[in-house]
Amino acid sequence: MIKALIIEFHILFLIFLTFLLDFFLPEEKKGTILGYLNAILLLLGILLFFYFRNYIDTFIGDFYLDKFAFALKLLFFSAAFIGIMGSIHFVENELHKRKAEYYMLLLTSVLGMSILVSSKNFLLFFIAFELMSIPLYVLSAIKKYDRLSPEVGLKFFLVGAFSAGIMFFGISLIYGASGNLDFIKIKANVFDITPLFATGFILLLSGMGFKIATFPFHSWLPDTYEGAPESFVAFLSVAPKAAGLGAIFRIIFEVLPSSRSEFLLLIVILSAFSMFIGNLLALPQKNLKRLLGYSSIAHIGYILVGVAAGSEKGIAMVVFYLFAYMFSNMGAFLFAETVRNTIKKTDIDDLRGLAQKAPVLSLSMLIILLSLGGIPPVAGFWAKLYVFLAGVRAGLWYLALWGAILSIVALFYYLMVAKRMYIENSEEEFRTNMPLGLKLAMIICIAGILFFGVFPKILYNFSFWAAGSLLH
Amino acid sequence: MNIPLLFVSPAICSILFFFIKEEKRNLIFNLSLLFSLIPFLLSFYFLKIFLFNPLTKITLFTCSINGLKFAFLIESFSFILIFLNNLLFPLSIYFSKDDILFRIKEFNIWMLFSQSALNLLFLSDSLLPFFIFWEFSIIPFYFLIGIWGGERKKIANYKFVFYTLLSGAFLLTGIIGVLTGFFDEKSKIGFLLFSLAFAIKIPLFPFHTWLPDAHTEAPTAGSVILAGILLKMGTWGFYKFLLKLFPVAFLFYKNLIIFLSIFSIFYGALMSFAQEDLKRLIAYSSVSHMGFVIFGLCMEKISGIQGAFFQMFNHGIVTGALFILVGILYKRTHTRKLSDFGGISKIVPRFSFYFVLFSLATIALPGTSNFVGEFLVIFSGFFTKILYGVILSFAPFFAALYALKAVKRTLWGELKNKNLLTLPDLDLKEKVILISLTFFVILLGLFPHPFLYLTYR
Repeated sequence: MIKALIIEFHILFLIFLTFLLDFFLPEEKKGTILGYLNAILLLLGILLFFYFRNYIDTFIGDFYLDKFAFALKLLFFSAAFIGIMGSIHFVENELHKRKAEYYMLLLTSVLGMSILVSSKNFLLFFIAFELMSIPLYVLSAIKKYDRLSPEVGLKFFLVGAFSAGIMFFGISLIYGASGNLDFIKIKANVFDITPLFATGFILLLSGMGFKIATFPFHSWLPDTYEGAPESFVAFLSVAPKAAGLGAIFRIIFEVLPSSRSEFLLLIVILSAFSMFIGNLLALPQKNLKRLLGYSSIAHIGYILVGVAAGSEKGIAMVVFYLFAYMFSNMGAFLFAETVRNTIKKTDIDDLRGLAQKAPVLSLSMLIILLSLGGIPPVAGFWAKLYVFLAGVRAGLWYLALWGAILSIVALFYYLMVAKRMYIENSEEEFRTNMPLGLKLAMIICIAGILFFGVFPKILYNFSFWAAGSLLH
Repeated sequence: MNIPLLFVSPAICSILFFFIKEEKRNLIFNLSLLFSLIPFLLSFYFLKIFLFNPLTKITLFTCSINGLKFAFLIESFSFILIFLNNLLFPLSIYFSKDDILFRIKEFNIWMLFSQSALNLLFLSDSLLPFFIFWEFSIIPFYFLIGIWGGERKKIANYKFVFYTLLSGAFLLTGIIGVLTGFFDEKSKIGFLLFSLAFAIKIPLFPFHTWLPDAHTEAPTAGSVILAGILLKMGTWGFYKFLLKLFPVAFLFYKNLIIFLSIFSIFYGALMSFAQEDLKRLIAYSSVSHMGFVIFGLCMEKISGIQGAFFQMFNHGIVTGALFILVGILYKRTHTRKLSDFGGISKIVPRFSFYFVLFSLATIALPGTSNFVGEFLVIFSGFFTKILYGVILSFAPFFAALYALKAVKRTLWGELKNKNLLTLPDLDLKEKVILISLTFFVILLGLFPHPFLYLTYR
């Protein structure tokens, strides 16, 4: 019963601990101590997962701890762990008087996500959604002294508030159509899809679309990624999207009636356009963070291929993709953070000749880029292959072909970055300034990419284990 | 061929390079030469086995990851390409010793990695590892052309990478379709996806435009491997996977592919004849030669397949040697324009000897190995349809056009350019490389039996 909330209690404990220690710790070391403490406790939390992995329970009928929620919570914890490790130096050196806040807000967002993927009631769902989103708006604007950060924070907030409004409207229409807020009861009562229900669902999907940044709702994303602090963007680019996708899966498989092919067609369209727009708009970018931002729109397109497959395999492959994507995308933003930390700029042109000046850093970025581009034998390749396999098995071979062709465009701009580092030369000095936390976070990302590239079977079996619970 | 060894040896070499200073050029090159010779020596062990029984198939490694099969197998056909691969890599690394002047550690690492990747590609018996190494082989060449390439390397690199990635996208979709059972042996979409991927790589006529740029702008070692091995990835995939996966759909498109291959033969030769850049001329001749290979494979007769594999091997040797000869000239004069040369046969007689020899081999003069290959292909053409044979019989004439043009404009005539008077002749290293390539041309030209024995079914 109450044990179903064990993971959420763990995060709450961390939040309160940070809150309390904030009063006692000396200001100049607060960022480092709290950062490592939270990271270690999150790691303990991940160990907790393995202890409770077969524990399935509900709390008052609205909150479900099943295997699917479990897998995504593991992902949030890992992303928060890497994100906190990567931002310790940033918090310590650049945030004054708000050091503990950073960690508290980030953990609160994780709390929101982990409730979101477990909720089976639209009211709880919406509250968790807001609990996840609001700290993210604050965190985007946390560099108060910066020119861009408050601006993008406001932009992100306005778009987010608007999307939440749309979503809430959608939920109210679904309530009107079915007379229920509970997922299970809605599925039991609704047999054919009325126009009211369909409108509600589409509005709900649009609201979620803002959060995961699919094609027509993507415009906030590159700006936010450019302006917000890099080490936070590493977290932002993975965890909220995973949470949003988890919620979309729950809605598709646990709310919609079994005749859902029209809705899946909608997702096919979103997927095709996201891949197209994301990859094409990434081509002319001059800033590394904007490029990664557009490329992450394209990645959402690839992930939606798995969603559109609408099968157990599709779900499993999306979980696989999310883990591979977590390691590669977080690694890419940690690289951007390293570059910014060293030369205060993140333009792609500033990377000229990096391979000569910082060979190890460039090699890690090359591996990350290959993983993002889906070149074998790294984790990103398996992710893309498995998602396409799931898609083709569901008859979506044209979407897989479209994705495969567009991934050439993607490789083109990823290799442009590699070209700056490896092929071109420059006289400018580059003394890598990589603090310990950032280094460890980067090592974890690279290790994840290489490990799951060579042994995809472990992650594959884990994904199937997680996906099974959603359909039964 | 020990699979872990292929993975590990370039990795060990890269780790060793970590401890060596960039200034020790000789040590670095000797080390990488040593590591690239290991698989070459290993392949003699397999030569012995296959000469004993050419039908042997040795499974080196199989496993299944989540229902996706990974199998590596060596048979006499793949052995031929692996032998060629492991012959050309040490030679081109050896040649690069005074050709590549900067960032030599990286150069050797990329070369060794691509040697291993290509070995593993030819060993792959199932689709997925084939695709993995197909994609992986792009990365080393992206850097080889991009860093050490010629003046127009930027555009050449774009073209090469774009076309190859496009072929990879078609191949990936096709492979996913086959693995999921979506494309069966009758599937025309599946056949088209696969054949587009291979046609870009081979390259067949309308998809060849990446080749002249990439081959011309790559460093000499890169050109040798590009022409010698990378083009065979396409023909090998054509033989190994396309013909076996879609036999029914193949019958439907057979005439189209035969037409394209014949067109490639003549188009490539004529385009080659029109070039004023020596390296570009040789690059275009590849289009012509690869047309023969595809034609031979399409005939589905034993002599056609034998001839096609003979031609693959010959093309690797002869075109590789011609690229090396052009590289020798370019290293000394820093020009490749035909108009800058002329009349150097008296100044560099040894160089001229090899140049004439390999040019005649391109024309398929009897006595050189190309004659045997082309003869077998034309022979199979006559057996299928007299018309094919008649048309193909004109091919050596067109080959003579460009080959003799190259010889005449470079070696013979008056010496106009006075800078060439002090041109040094071949040194020991170049002699070693050219003699070892000549050995195969003459040996297989006069005594093709072991090769025919290996490929006879």
